[in-house]
Amino acid sequence: MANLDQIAGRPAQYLSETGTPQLLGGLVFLIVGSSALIQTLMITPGNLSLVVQYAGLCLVGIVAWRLSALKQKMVFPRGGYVEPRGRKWTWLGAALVAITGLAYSVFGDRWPGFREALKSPLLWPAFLIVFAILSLDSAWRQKSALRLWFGVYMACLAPLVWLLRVNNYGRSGALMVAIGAPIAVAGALRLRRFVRLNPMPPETGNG
Amino acid sequence: MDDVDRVIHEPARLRIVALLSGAEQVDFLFLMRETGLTKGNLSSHLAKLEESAYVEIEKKFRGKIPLTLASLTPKGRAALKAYSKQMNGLLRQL
Repeated sequence: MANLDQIAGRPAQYLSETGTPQLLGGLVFLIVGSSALIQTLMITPGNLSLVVQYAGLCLVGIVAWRLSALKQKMVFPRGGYVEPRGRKWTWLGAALVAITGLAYSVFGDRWPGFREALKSPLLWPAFLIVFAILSLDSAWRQKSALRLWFGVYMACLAPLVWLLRVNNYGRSGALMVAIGAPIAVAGALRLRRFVRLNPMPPETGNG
Repeated sequence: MDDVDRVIHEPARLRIVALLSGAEQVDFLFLMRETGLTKGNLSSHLAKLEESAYVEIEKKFRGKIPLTLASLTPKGRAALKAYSKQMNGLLRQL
C-alpha cells in the first residue's frame, strides 16, 4: 500500500519546492526587521519613527500582493494550482503569541524585575543559544545537514547580536534581518530552479 | 476483503484521493503531474470519484484558459480514513 501520509504531504511539499513560501517569509522578516532597526538607529525618532513603522507594514502588504501575482503568473501555470489546507501551526503560532502577551502583562505587573530582565542585552543572545542547541540536537537526531548549519548560524549570531550597540528592540530587528535575508535568498534560488526545471506548457487549459 | 471500498481501492484513485486530502483544492495540471496519468485517464478517474460524491469538481476560466479544480468532499475524506484504518488492520493481522 502506498504511503498515504507521504502522498497527502505532496501539495505542501510542492508549494515549498517552488520557493515562494520561503521568499515571502524571508522578505517579511527582512522588512519588519529593517524597519525596527531603522527606528532604533534614528537620532530623533518622534513621528518619523511611526512613518518608518507604517511604511514597513505597507511594504509587507505590497510584497505579499506581488508574490501572489507572481505565483499566479509563473508558478501555477507551470506546476499546477494548489490551495493548501489550513495549517494547525498557524493556530499554534497565534496561541503562542497570545500566551506570551498574557504572560508579559501578568508577570510584568507583579514583578517589576521581569520587565527589566527583558531589557537585558543578554536576552536575545541567550534565546539564540537555546535555539541553536535545539536545532543542533534535532539535526543530530534527524541527520539533517540544513538544520545543522542553521544551528551553527544561530550560535554564530549570538555574540554578534550581543555586541550591537542598540537596545533589545533594535537587536530583535537585526536578528530578523539576519534570519530573513538568507531565507529570502534561498527562496529566490528555489524559485529560479523551479522555473528553469518546469517550462511553461502551451496554453491549452487543463481538464 | 469483500467490504473494501472499490472506488478508493484502485491505486490511481487512491493516489488522487490521498493527494486531495492534503489540500483544500488543486487543479487538473497538478493532479496530472503528481499521478503521472494522461488527461483521459485522470478525467475518467475523477468522474468516477465525483459520481461517488468523494470529489467535487469546479470548472472555471482563468482568462480564456479553462481550469478544472478538484477538492475532497467530507464523504471522500471519511472514506479515505475508513479505508486507511481497514488496510492498517489487515496489515496487522498478517
